[in-house]
Amino acid sequence: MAGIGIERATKIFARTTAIKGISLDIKDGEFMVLLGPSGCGKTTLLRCVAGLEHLDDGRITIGDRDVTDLAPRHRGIAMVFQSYAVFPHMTVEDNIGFGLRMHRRPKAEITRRVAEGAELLGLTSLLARYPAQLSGGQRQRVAVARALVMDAPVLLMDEPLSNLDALLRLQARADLKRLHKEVKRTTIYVTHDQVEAMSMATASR
Amino acid sequence: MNARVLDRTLVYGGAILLAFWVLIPLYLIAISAFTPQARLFDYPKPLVPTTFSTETMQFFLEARGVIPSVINSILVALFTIAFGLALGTPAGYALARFRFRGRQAFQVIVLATKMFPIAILSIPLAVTFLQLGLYDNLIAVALVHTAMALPFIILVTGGVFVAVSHELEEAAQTLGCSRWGAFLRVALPLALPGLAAAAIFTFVISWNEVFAATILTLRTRTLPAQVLAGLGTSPLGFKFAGGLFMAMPAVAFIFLIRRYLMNLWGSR
Repeated sequence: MAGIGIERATKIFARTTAIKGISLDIKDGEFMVLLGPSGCGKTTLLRCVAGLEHLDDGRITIGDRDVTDLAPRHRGIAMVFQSYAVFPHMTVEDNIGFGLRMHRRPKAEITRRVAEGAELLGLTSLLARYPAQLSGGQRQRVAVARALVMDAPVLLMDEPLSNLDALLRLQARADLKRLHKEVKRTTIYVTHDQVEAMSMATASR
Repeated sequence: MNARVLDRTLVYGGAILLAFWVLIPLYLIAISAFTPQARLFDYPKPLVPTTFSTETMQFFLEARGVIPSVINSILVALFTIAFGLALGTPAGYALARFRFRGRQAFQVIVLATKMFPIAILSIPLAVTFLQLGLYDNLIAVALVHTAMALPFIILVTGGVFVAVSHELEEAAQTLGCSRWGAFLRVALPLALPGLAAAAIFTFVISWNEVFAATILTLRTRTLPAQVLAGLGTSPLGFKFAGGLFMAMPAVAFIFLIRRYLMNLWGSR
C-alpha cells in the first residue's frame, strides 16, 4: 500500500537542530523502530512524518505522494501518542469513531468499524465508558483502536507503552506485534527501550 | 502540636474576622431592605429582623427608571461578555499555546492596563465616543467594560487552555480535523466550564461598574449609574433596596463559580 520515503529531512528549533539531513526508506508493511536516547530527535522525526511539525529542509513521501506540505489530515496517517491523547469528554465509542466521523463515513460503517476495532483490542465491554473511568492500559488500547480503525496506510506510534507498568507493557507489546501481523500497516514506532525495539522491529535489517 | 493548634486558631480566626468584615454590611443592608419604611429609623437597630416586609423592595423596583436601567445593565453585561470572550479567548489561547516573540511583554502589558486609573480617561473617552456618535449608547458602555474585563478574561482563558493538553488537539488533527476544527471539537468543549466561569465573572464586573456608565450615558443608564444619579436625594429605603439588589447577582455568581476560582488560585 504505502512505503515512506524521507529525504534529507532537517528540522531546526529556535536554537537546536533536532534532525539534520536524515534520509530513510521504509518499505510497505514494514515495522520500523526508531531507537535512541531521549532528546535525540526521534519523536521530532515522527512528528514531521505526521505533519505536526514542518520540515525546514528535505521532503517526505508516503506511497507515491509528496506529503511535505500537507496538513496531518491529508497525509493518510494515524498516530498513537505517548500520553494517548484520548479525548476526556467523549466515551470510548466516540473516541474510537472520532476519525471516521471527521471523514464523514456513513453511520452504519462507523458503528461497524468501531465495533471491530473495539473487538480487536478487547474494549467491547467498555464502549460506553469515559476515559476517566479507565485504567492506563485500557486508555492505551483506546488510543491504538482509535488509530487502527482509520485504516490509514501509515501508523505512527510515539512511545505508546512507556506509561504502562512492566507487566502490562509486556502484554501490550505482544498485542501490538499480533496486531501488526494482522493488519500489516506500515509502522514507525518510537521508543527508547532497546528490548522493545529488538522484539518488535521487522527483523530484516 | 500546640503550635499547630495555635496556627489553625489564627488562620480560622482571621478567616472568620474577614468574613464578618464582608458579611455584616451585606447583612445589615439585607435586613434594612426588608424592613418597612416606617421602622427604618428605629434606634437601636435590631440585629435580627423583627418585621418582614417587601414594601421597601417594591418601592425601589417601582421607582421611575429602575426597571429600564436593570434591563440596560443586563444588556450591557451580555454585550460585554460577547465582546470580551470574542477578543479574550483567542488571546488567552495564543498565550497558552504559542511561544511567540514578545509573549512576556504582552502579558505584562495586558496586566499593566489594570494599573491605569480609568478616571484619567474620562474626558478623552467621552470626547471619542461623542465623535464616534456612540454617546449615550449601551454599546459604548459595553466597549469600555470589555476593555476593563479583558485582562481578567485573557488571564483566565489562558489558564484554562494551558490545562487542555495540546496533544489532544494534535490527535484530533491526525484524525482528520483542521487546526480550527481541532480547536472547536476538542479544546473548546474541554475549556467550556472555565470559559463559563470567565463569562459569569465578566457579568459581575460589568454589572457592578459605575464609572463608564456615568460618564458615557445620560438617558440610557445602567443600574449602578441610575442609583448613583439619585443617591443624594433618594430616601434611605431606596438606597438599602438598591444596594441589596445590586449585590445579589454578584453574591450568587461567586457561589456558582467558587470551584473555578479555587482552581485559579491554586488551592482546593
